[in-house]
Amino acid sequence: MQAVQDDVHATVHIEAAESDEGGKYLTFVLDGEEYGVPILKIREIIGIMDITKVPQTADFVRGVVNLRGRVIPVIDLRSKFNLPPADYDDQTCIIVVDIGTTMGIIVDTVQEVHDIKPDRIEPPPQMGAVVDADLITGMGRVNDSVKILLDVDKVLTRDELVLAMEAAAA
Amino acid sequence: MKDPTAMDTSIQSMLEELRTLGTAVDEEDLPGLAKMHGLCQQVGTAFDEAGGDGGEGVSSLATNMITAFEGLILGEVSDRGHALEAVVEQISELEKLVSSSAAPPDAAAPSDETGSEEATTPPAADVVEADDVAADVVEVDDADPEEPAYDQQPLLIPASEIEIVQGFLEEATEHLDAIEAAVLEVERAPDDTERINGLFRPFHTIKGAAGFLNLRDINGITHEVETLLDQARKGTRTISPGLIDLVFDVVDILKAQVASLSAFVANPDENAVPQPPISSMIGHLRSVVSGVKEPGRFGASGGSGDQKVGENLVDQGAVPQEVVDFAVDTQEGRVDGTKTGEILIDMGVATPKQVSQAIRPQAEAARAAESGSPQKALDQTVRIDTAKLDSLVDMVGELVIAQTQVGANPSIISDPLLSKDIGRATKIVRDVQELSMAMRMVPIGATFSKMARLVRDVSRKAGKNVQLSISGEDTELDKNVIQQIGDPLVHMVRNAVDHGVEPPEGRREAGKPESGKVHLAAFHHGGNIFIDISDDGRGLDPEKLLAKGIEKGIVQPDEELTEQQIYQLVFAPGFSTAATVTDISGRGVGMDVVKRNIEQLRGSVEITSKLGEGSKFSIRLPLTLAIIDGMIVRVANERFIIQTTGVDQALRPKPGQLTTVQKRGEMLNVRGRLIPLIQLGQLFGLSDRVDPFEAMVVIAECDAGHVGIVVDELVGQQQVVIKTLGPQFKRLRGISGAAILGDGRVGLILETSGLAAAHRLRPASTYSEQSAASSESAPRDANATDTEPTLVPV
Repeated sequence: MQAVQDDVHATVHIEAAESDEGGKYLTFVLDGEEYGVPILKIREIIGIMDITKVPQTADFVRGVVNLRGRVIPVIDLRSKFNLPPADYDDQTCIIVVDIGTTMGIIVDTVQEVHDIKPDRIEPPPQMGAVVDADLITGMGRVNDSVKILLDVDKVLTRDELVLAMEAAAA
Repeated sequence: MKDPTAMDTSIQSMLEELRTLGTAVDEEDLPGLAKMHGLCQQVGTAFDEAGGDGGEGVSSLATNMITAFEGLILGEVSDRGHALEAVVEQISELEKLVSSSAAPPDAAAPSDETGSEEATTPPAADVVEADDVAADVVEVDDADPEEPAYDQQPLLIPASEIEIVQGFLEEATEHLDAIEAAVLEVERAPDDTERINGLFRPFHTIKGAAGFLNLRDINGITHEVETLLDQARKGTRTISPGLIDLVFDVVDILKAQVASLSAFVANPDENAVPQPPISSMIGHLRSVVSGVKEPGRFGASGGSGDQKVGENLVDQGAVPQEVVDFAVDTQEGRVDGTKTGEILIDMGVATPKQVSQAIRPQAEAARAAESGSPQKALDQTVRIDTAKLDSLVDMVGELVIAQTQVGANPSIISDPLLSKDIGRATKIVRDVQELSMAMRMVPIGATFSKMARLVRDVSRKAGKNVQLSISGEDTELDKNVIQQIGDPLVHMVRNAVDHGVEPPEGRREAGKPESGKVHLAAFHHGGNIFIDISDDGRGLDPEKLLAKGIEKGIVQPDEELTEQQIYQLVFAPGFSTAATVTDISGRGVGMDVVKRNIEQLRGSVEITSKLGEGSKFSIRLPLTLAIIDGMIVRVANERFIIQTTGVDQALRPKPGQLTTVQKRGEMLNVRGRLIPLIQLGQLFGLSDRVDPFEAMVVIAECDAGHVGIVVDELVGQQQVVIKTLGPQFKRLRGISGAAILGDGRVGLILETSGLAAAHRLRPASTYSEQSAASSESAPRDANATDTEPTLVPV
């Protein structure tokens, strides 16, 4: 099972590597906005499942889940981007990404995979964005909609998941 | 390059032909013999005509040889094979005489075609004493290397030492592996003294241990290489590729030594241990150390056998070591891939026959390697990356959970066939689980053997007579446990010998035999492994321990402790200091570390002792590090796992047991001890403060004594496979990992010491934002405002 996934992964990687910024992106919705993540970072997509809370963690860390025997952290992207919280429903998905470590990100709903050519990608906006500009690699135009392309590594690693207890007690 | 002043090339070519024939001919080859006979005649005549100095010697030798060939051809000698050998040997002598008489003695031409400076010196130019050189060159038969001599002597290992030697061998093997890695590091950064030190140390360790065990060869060779490395780290010698090669060669020789010792130890007998020859290597090293030689690869690279042609020749006494070295150097200078043996023949120091004899072991070794030597057949093991084993254990753990989930499916009840099939599958899965666990297991025997050495050392130093007995050495433990239990065990055994067993006089007075006993035992019991260290010494004196505990402020004067608790005082940090009470002296030195190490392995130590009769330290360890027995507790909607071995008891507190301290901390009075309560739900921000009278309190051990963990409910007990939470969560306090529970959800594993630390860091009033507001029982104190922001990302 794992091996098959890795194979698929590898194939995707070759395709994606053809261009610099362009390539296949998985798009998803977060509070009405459309985002894209390079597909080669994605391991799989699972439905929302029981999440075990982990204490002493930042608000956006929802906890950990059992991914076929592996315990992986799950973060809520709405919370991470300071968007208003929403209840989880059958549309809610956990996108499992591989950024050196495996993590899950909770999104409102997953859309589809788009092939976005480099010439359809514009540099990130300097102002007015909900999200910090340095978390965005660009704005991808697909037909008449615009996808916010995320630098998923930065999104997930910029902040510590665990809160420092010493700081809290000081 | 031949010396221009040397004789006629025709004589040279005749000699060459003679030599070639000598390699090929056997005693039945009459035409060949006849041809050699003719050549000898020609050489004799040609030499006489050339009129070189010392012609008589050449003539008479040639005449001798001619006679010998005649005898051979005519069948006049009885042992023709031997006779041929003798005459073939003379060929080289003849060559030698021819060349030395044709040219000035110091300019005799070795067959060194590279034309290096060494061409002006005799073949054996690398020896220390020039006199010996000359002697060696002329009297090839008398090839005893007189230089940096090392006499390899028969090695006898008494049966009583077998175990110790075995322990040494295991260590040595590890060190040799470390050395190989270290050599490569040094090669990468030759100027880094620290790395050279890193290389020096394992050699030093091996040397020391070998010296102690009278393993003369290993001691000798490591001593030389140590000296060499010492020069390097003092900067008087540079790390050259040659030196690196040499060190690798030493490692190979040491490995051969270790291998032959291992074979002997596995099957000991009265005879001497077969030892691979190392005299020549030591000689070589000594020459390098003294600066006579440049370090370089030792022995020929052409052979695939362990033993090099040159070494074989030296061992046969055919050629002195330095000549072989020279030949090897020459070989390295050549690009045509000439073998050492050929060079030696060219140099005329060894006969082709000798060389062919010397090659034989090499060829045999090569054949043995191809066909799989018997030693390899015995060693049918595979080395596997432990990470792979761990993930196998993980996967199997998952399989067990999945299997349990299938087995719990209600629809099975209505289908007897399905139920039967699932039952069978469950059994197989259990077997696989057991097997996967067993793969990590190694017997503890080797660790115990090392203790034998330790007991010997310590008892001698302390002037005591102590016998160590061992049982259960076949008991298998997780490899990680074995690795980590070594140090604590050393400590405890040392203590037993040093402090437990009385000196001989004391024992006499106490009416005990002078010789004390220390017993090491390992056994399985109830899903745990026990390692007992018992002695028949003076035992622990509870009264003195208690007095000392009070004196040190570890115990309150009015505190009531059980006997076990008093004994456990020896593990308290700082319990034992220089001011020792004689009867318990030193029992506490580093014992806190011992206890901590054992607890890290999720084990515990229990002490039983009887004053005057001895003590027993019983270490309890889990079978494996991958699985724990867990007590599952519920707090709000979350379930947590507490390791059962750390749990004292679970209770529902009664009114009157609870005390609050400064209206902040809650303490529970359990049998005279005040145990701080940790409101887990509050601490983790899962719920408000729970009334302890409504809840369950789990009393668990931690590094600072005991804590009471307030939980909503005890759910049950379960064996769980430990999963790490990964690097993102390594800063979590009070949580050591996670496990998949029976329903497939993740449960977090509590770590009580960390929990206690987290509890101390956060005053009760500021457990969490939610609870702080609603917690009526914990009014804020003056500090509360400072401690307010508890859940802010940093």
